[in-house]
Amino acid sequence: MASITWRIVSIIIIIYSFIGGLMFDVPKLPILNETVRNLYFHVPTWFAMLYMLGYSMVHSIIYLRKNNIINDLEADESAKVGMLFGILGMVTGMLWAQYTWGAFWSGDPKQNASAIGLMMYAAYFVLRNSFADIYLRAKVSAVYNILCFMILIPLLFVLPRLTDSLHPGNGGNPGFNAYDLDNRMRLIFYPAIVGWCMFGMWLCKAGIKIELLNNEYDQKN
Amino acid sequence: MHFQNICFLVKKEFDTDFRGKNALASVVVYSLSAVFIAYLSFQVKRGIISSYTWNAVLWLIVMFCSINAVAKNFAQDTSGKLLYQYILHRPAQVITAKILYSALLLQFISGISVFFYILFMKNPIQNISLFAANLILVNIGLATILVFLSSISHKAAGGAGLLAILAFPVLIPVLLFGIKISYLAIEGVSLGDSLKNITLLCSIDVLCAALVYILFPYLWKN
Repeated sequence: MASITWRIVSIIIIIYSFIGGLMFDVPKLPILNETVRNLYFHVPTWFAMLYMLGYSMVHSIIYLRKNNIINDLEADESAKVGMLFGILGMVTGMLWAQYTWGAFWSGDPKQNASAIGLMMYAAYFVLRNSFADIYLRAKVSAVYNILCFMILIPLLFVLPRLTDSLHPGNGGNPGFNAYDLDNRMRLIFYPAIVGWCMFGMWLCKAGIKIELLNNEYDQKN
Repeated sequence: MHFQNICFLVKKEFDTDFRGKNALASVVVYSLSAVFIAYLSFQVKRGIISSYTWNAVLWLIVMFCSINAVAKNFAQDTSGKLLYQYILHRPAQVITAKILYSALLLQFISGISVFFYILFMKNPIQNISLFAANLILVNIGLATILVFLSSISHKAAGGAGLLAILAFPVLIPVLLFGIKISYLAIEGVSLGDSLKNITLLCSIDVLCAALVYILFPYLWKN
């Protein structure tokens, strides 16, 4: 029952963030204008991606310690969901960039770094597909997953801050917290993050269930 | 961590590579032909290509040569030989020795590549010492990541193709700083002014080394 409750809650929060994000009042800012509403869609997907990839790494670490194949499955499925959110974040960000920075791709350090991050996880899935033995696959891909996440963090959060980035909050640009994120926006922004993270967990659990049922079916036939 | 053991293992790596001379020679020929292709395709009449292009092509050549040089590292050891090694030495010692040897090998190979490159494509570098220091630091980072990933691709029996796929995105942070500092060296920026970038490159090297040191022991045992 509890599991169904949080799924319904996540859907309600996401619907709320869509309605609120498109309808409620936003502060009028130069250049950004109405595109500031992208804060409700673009930023939460990145948060959800980091949450899912972090979850994936934690399960990889647990796998290396406990050698339980279910942790490998969790790591795989949550990385897939993280990748999905990464692509969504990339697309929403590029659409936004077209109207504020003037181009879909402007070589911003954070844009480049997130593209590299997605490539790393694509390589993770390629690696997973090149094994026949599932235990060897679980171990080796867990190691690569940990390496990926540990490189992703400085790539996304340390390096863009050291160079000139177009992103708000980097390279001397004011962050959302400075003056433009007022309380009306927080009312939608924070729930949206929680909602997308919960939704991601739902997708991950559903993926695991499908995978387990597939295995069961294969064993019967 | 016994220093003697590591020295012994580095010497063993050296012996295996230099027993058959074709392994090393093939990498040298590879770098020479890559440089020559670059030279021919640019049709270099002095001063036509910008220092940006010069820099980018040099780093592409260095990166591909390094991947080729390190890819053989685990492939030439049969699983029986590796098992024997792991019984005699701790895995951390094995990986440290392999990284040290590969770092030395890459210094040699990238040195040769840069030499040929400068020979054919002229020399716009104004601050040679910064360029050399940068090359050494980048090679340490490349060796650390590539040795570790070649052990992963060896496990997956994927060969050099898989290594390239795994390595490119992970190498980018190191290469990014390498390319940036190398451009500063070409422009003649002094060592003191580029200290911030050098510190960052060092810290990325240290981060990678720490990760490899922690993760490798999980990888080797079957």
